Amino acid sequence: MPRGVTGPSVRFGVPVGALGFALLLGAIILAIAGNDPIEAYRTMFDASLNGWKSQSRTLALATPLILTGLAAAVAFQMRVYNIGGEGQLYLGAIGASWVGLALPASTPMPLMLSAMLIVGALAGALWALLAAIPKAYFNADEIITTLMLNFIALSLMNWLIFGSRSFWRDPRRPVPGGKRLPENAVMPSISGRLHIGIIIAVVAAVFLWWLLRKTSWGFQIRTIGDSPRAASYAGMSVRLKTLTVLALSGALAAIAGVSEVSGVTKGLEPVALTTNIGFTGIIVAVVARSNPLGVVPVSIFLAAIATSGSRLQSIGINVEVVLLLQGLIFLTVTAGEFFVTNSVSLARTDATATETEAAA
Amino acid sequence: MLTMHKRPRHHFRLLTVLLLALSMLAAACGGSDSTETKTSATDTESTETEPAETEASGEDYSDFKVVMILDGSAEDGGWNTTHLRSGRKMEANFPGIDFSFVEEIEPGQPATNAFQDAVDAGADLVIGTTFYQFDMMDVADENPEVYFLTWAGFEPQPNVGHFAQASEDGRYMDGIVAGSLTKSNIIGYPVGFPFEEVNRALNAFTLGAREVNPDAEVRAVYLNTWFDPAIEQQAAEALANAGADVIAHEVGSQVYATVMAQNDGYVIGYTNDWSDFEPEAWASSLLFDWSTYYIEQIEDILAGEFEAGNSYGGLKEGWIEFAPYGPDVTQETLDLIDERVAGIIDGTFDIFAGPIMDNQGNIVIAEGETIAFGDRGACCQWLVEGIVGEIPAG
Repeated sequence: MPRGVTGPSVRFGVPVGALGFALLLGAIILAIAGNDPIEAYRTMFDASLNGWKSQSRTLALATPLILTGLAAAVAFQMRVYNIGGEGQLYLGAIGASWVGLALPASTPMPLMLSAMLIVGALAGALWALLAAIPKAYFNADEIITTLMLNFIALSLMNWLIFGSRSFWRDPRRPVPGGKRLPENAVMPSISGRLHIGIIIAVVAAVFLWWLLRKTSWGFQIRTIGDSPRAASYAGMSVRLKTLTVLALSGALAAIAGVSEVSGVTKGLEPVALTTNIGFTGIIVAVVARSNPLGVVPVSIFLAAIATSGSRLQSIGINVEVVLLLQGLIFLTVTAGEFFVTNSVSLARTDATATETEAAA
Repeated sequence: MLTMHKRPRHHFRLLTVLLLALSMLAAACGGSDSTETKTSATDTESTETEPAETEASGEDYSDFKVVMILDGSAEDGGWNTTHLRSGRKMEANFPGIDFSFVEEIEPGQPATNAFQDAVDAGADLVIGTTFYQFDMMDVADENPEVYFLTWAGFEPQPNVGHFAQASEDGRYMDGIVAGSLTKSNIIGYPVGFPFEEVNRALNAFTLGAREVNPDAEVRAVYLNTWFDPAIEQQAAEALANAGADVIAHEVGSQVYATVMAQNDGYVIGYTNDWSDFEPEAWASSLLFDWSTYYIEQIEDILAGEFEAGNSYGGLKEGWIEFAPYGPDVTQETLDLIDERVAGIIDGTFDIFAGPIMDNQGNIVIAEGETIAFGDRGACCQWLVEGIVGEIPAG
């Protein structure tokens, strides 16, 4: 392992090298499958990044990814592993759609959207606290609890639409689905499918960067991440931070749900909302090294790969090859990032520091 | 001891998290992988494009472009395979027509993008085969010159046609098969999600089974999934253990056939011809044929007479046909099915003719009453007498 090797050559060389490797391997696969690799890559580029129309749809797909990426990143900073972003996103969608449907349709849009954001974020934060409280007080492993809460959240959302005649469900629909949100509860479009959720996501990224880098709260979070015992010797409340960080993380993932339900599905639609945005957010955070500002470009990159699927199929590439190609790029870049950055950070902090549990 | 945990444990934990996240993503794509196995058991029926019979020769439709959008693999052996087969039939009907499809398109943003891509590629007609209505609404609004057909939609738009199938017409016949085959008089019926269309098909199935076998009972199990082999395996085994010797399924995997073959029972499929897979256990399956609808709509578009709105079709409309019946289905059963099919087509037989009791002992359709064909979409929030099980609470 290349201990202590860092700096720009590793920082930028590795992802670029990994991408190049993936594209080369992908070209071979495409050629074997009888497709023209150049045409395929040009189509991928055209569909995702060439021109404003393509860029705006990539940004639309990146919007929730940025938010779930931030959710994972903020918890990673404290070495708390929230993999419940998926479920927290559903709670955000459930909370926001409840507000959108419960308030009078004539409620002014700024008021309506703010209320949806607040209630959605609160719902996600409370859902995350279901894992944070056992973590803080009984040291229950948050990887297990947040993962399990995903399934419960999914069942809850499915039950609201498929299993019951809930407030959310539209009784007129032959196939169960949510009631449509009124116009004032729909995030306005910037261009085509791109809506103001992207602004919320980018502002959240900058805010989080500021919070982590420029405030004493952020300093404490990072210190606890490096060494919880040292942090508690220094008088920091690890327990309180565990609760607040997981609540913040849950709120961010939930805002992704608010953005999807208000800007994209415009009603509580379980099928359209379960596209693994929460899980992809974890990968975003890993590749971005938990840096909130890094989350934005990484999300856009992953969204760009994902958005070209139907265009690639339409030039005659078999759907399996398309999925293989997308998965390959995804995996190579992630793996390259993970192993390089982590062996480096391993060397840096190897010393004698020991991890005590968060409750210590 | 707390001090046992050296720093590298963080990386181990981060790696665990990463692998978990990746495996969740892989699991999500897994639907198509696992359905892959089905293809081997399914005839690749899409190849049997018969030459056009109805159209006059010399017609050329090469400047009409149709794009079909499928939510799963075109080779899933069920829902999507049926749509693609219907698309191929439609293609054969219009010589030279430019027909293509994209598959594995999830509802939500990916679906919206796929509809937009189809329009950008110059499609005259885009067909969405699952509940894409709210994903394609804006695209349809912005492109009034392009036509759209979408399954089970309902919001009126001038360039959009909605279609839904009267599964009950076919399910009644599957019920006759099940009722005549069962020896234990226990029939298993794993259901997807509880809602009207599904309950209606289950009711029709049970009415069919009990027409030939009044002692038969149908055990309904709501699984809350359309495809999940692990859950389905459990359901199949539980039903077999409870004595079921026929299982009719709507949920997509082949585990039922395997379990029934092991128990000398029978399986009834859902819009799939899996008669080659565990052939001894195969009994029957309704099949949907959407080509009738597709062809009518394209003819209307070409004639400038497209009518937006909802279409509902069953046997009479030519939307339903049947897979080959299994070896143990008797001639007597086949004759009865022919009679009932003919009766539905000429209007002399009505599946929902009263009196019909629900399984709580209430009369839900009184003597002399029925549910008109056009009103069936609103039925059913009750389960007919003979079904053991209830619609999950709500």
